Amino acid sequence: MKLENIHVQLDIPATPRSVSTARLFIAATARHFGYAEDVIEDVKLAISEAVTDAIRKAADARVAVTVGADESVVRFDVAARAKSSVSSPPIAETDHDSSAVTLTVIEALFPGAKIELGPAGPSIRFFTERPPFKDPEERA
Amino acid sequence: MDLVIESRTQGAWAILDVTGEVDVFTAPKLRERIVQSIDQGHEKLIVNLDGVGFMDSTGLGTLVGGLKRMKERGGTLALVCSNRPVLRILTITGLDAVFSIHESTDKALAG
Repeated sequence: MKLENIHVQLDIPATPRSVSTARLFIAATARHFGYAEDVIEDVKLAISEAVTDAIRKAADARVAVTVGADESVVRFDVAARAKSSVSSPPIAETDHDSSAVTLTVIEALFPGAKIELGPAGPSIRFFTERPPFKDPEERA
Repeated sequence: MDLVIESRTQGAWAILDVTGEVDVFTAPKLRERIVQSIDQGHEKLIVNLDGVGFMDSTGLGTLVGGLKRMKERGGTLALVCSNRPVLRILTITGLDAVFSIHESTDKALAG
């Protein structure tokens, strides 16, 4: 059976509270694709890292989480939509620079992850193989 | 999901039982409680993460900060963790080799 192309996007405020919303969205989306729970956990972690990084860069604006799938690959994209290039993130002090860890963590989970600079700002992108189609009743 | 942190003591140890998800929104609360425990003079602290269903590198940063602060005072900070999502981020970052990680609070208390 041919798998349909899918494109979904979540647009959220660039605030710390939004990170859990992004995780809920991505978990539901990954579950729809039929990924195993371990993979869903990895996708949630990667998205949490990417969205956190995005809100550090666009604290007064929006973050877009996009999932696009063709027959064989699912692509994830997290982009900060900054209103200005200079902003002060509303993030409480932490004891180390977790921003530096972001790409390392995502690359460890999904080799080939990268940061790209687009016209609207930086994006963190990663991809993974699309699982084969399974009847929803069979999954349950 | 909100973060719930309950504190107790057992012998010389202070124990923080953490429940919920630790990310950029909730990590400041965890940081505050760890700092509070250390500033109260506890030299042995267990952070029990068995009730944590999710943690990312922001949460790890908080734990690293707590470990650093505790070591500066000559104390000990141990983690209790047996769930995959938290162990996964600890392993990926190599911090599983930095922290003293135990399967249960009893094992952490036994050292």
